[in-house]
Amino acid sequence: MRRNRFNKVSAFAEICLKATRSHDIKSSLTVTLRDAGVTSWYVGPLVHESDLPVGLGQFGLAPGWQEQYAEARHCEVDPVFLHAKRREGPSTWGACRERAIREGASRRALQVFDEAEEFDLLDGFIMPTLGTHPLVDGVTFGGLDPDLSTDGLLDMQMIGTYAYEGFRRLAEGFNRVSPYLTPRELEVLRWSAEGKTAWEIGEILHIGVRTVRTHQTSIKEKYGVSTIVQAAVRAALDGTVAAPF
Amino acid sequence: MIHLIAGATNPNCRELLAGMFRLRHDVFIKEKHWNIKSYNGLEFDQFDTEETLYLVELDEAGAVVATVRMNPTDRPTLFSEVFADMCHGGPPKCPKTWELTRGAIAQNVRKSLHFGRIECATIEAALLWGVTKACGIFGVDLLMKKMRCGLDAKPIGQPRMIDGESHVAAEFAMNGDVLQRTRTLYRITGPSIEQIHLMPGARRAA
Repeated sequence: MRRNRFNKVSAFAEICLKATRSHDIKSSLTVTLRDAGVTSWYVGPLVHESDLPVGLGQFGLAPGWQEQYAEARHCEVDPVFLHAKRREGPSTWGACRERAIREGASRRALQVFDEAEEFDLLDGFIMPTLGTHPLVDGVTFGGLDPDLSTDGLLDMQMIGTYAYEGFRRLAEGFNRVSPYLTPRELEVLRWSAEGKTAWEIGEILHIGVRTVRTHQTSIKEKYGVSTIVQAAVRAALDGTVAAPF
Repeated sequence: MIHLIAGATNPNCRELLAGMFRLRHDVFIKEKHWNIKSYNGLEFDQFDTEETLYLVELDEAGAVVATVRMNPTDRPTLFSEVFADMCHGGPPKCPKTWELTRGAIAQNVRKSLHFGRIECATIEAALLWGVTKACGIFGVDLLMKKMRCGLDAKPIGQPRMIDGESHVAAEFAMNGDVLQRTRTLYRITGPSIEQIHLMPGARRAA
C-alpha cells in the first residue's frame, strides 16, 4: 500500500520535472488525483480568471463550475482562496468553511461552498505556494468524497507541489539553461541590446564590423534565434544581460 | 562571505565552528523547538565528525548568518541511523552522494539572498569534491523552494509529518547546469565560496 502511494507520487513528480508541454502534466494530474477521489483541480495565481498572467493558472474543473465561479467573481470572497492568501499552510475546504462561519463570513462567501456542492464538490484540499510576486499562488483539489486522511493530505501536498512547479517551469521557460557567451560576445550583445548598429559597436569596441557580425551570428546560434534582438530579449529574460527596460 | 570548512574539529576554524553550532542552537532548539540536545548553547551531534563539511556564511560584522552540513552517505548519516524508514529501498549509500542536514539561516536575514548564496555554495562545494548528488529530509515547503532554485528534487520516500510539518526524503543532482540555473535565478555572477579550510594534514586538495 505504502509502496503504491510512493510509486504514484514519484511517477507524477518525474513527469512534472521532465514535461515539455502543460498537457502532459494536466492529464497525469487528472489521472493521479482520480484515485484520491478528486474530480476538480486548480493550480496557479489566486486571482480572477481575467487577471491571470499569460501562461499561468491551470484548470481541471468540473464542467460549468469554472464559468460559474468566474462569472460570480467568487475568488474575491472564497474562504478557501482566502486561507491560501493568508499563507497558513495546507488545509481542507471543510476547515476553511468552519473558520469562515466562526469568523462571521459574509453570506456571499459561504455561498461559494453551496454552489460548489451543486457540482459534486463537497470537500477538498488547499495549499499556498511560493507565488509569482506580487500574486499569491495556490493549489486546490476537490471532489465528492476526496481522500482527506493524513496520508491522503500528505500525498496531495506533494502532488500539488510538483504540479505547481511543473506548470511554473513551463510558463517561465525555466528548463532552458542560458548558453555560455564569451566575454566579447557579452559585450557585443549588451551594445546590441542598447540598439547600436554593428558599425557603432565596432567603433566602441575597436573591432571591425565583420568581427561584430561574426560575434552576433555566434550569439544567435547559441540562443537558437534568428535576430540579434530576439537574442537580446532572451538574454535579458534569463539574466545574462540587464534588461534594457 | 562563505567559508567551506572540513571537519567539525578543524583547529583552524574554532570560532567559525562555534558560531555555526550556536546558530544551529538558536534556529533548531530556540526557534523551532526540535527535541535535540545542545551543550552550552551549541547544537551538535554524532554526525558532526572529522569527515563532515560545513558551509558557514558570515555577515559584514562577522556573525554567522547561514550554514549547511554535508556528510558523505557511505558513512553513518542521519538518514541511515535515524530516518532509514523514510526512504524506499533504503537510504542512499555512495561516496559521491552527500546528505544535507542542519541547513539554517538566521531569523533576521531570512528574506534576503542568503538562501540563494548558500544553495550556490553547496553546489560549488559538491563540484569541488566530485560529488554528483545530494539527498536529505526536507520540509515540503523547503523542497518547493529548492525546486524554485533550479534543483530537480525527486522524492525517494513517502512524506511524513514531523513536528507538525510535512517532510519528505528527496535527492537531486548537483552539476554545472544546476549551478548556472541557481546563479541566474539569484543574479549571482561568480563563486559564492570565498575561503576553504581543509583539515590540517588532509591529503585532498580541493
